[in-house]
Amino acid sequence: MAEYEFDTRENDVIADTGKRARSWGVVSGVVGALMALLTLVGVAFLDKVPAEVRGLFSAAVFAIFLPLAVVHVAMAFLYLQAGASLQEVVDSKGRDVSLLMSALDKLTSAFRIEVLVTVAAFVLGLVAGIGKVAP
Amino acid sequence: MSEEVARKKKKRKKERAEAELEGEYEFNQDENRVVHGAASWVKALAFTLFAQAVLKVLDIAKSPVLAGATIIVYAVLGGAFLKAGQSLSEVVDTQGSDVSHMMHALQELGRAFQIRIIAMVLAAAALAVAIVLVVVSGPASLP
Repeated sequence: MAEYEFDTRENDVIADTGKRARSWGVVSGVVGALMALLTLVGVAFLDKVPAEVRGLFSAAVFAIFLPLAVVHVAMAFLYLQAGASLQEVVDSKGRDVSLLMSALDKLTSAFRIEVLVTVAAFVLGLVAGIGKVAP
Repeated sequence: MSEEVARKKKKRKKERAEAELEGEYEFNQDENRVVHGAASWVKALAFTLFAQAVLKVLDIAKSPVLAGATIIVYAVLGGAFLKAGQSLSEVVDTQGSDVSHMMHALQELGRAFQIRIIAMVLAAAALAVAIVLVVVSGPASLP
């Protein structure tokens, strides 16, 4: 059975969202690459950091920069894929709804990662804060 | 004879219902499940952004400009994602305007991505200016 075909106006909206999703994917990828670079720099200079703050420094590198790099690269991948699927909705015929669902699925995965990472960061921050305050 | 009349009535009723929905594609059960999942996570993302905006209020005394700008960005982003989530929920919950609701949701998502990109570019520019200020005049020159 042939799938519903979006009209020109609808295709414009889909193309626009696809372009912005891809742009955000690129930005997220750049942020991830910068975080990965900071991780590498941190690891390279670990022995030059004064011993008394080395623990804190390596915690920042391995607990913040490395996970953020992985998360941003994963999200970049999903946003780029979602953007590509949305563009395919516009460019192809006969599979518009399937491609839109595929794009929504990828966007959902990216949003899920973002929410879970934010909640995890909040919980870790809370635990670290309580640890600092507790005698 | 009466059976045929009843069948014709039923057919006309079905045609009227189809005509009412004409022009707007109805997503099927599997598609609605995907849309429902997307709606739930988009709304969850909106609430985490609102929560981050509320938490940033605690930083206003320390750095009013930065905290104020961050609160505005988080709140506007949260609003765009919440609207997108609500439109996606309407795709699932209503009949007759699935495509219109979907287009509205995509427009809001696109707007949210655009706000994020602009905010990220502005943040990168502010960071670059701060680095230049620190290098040229020392840390005391920062606002």
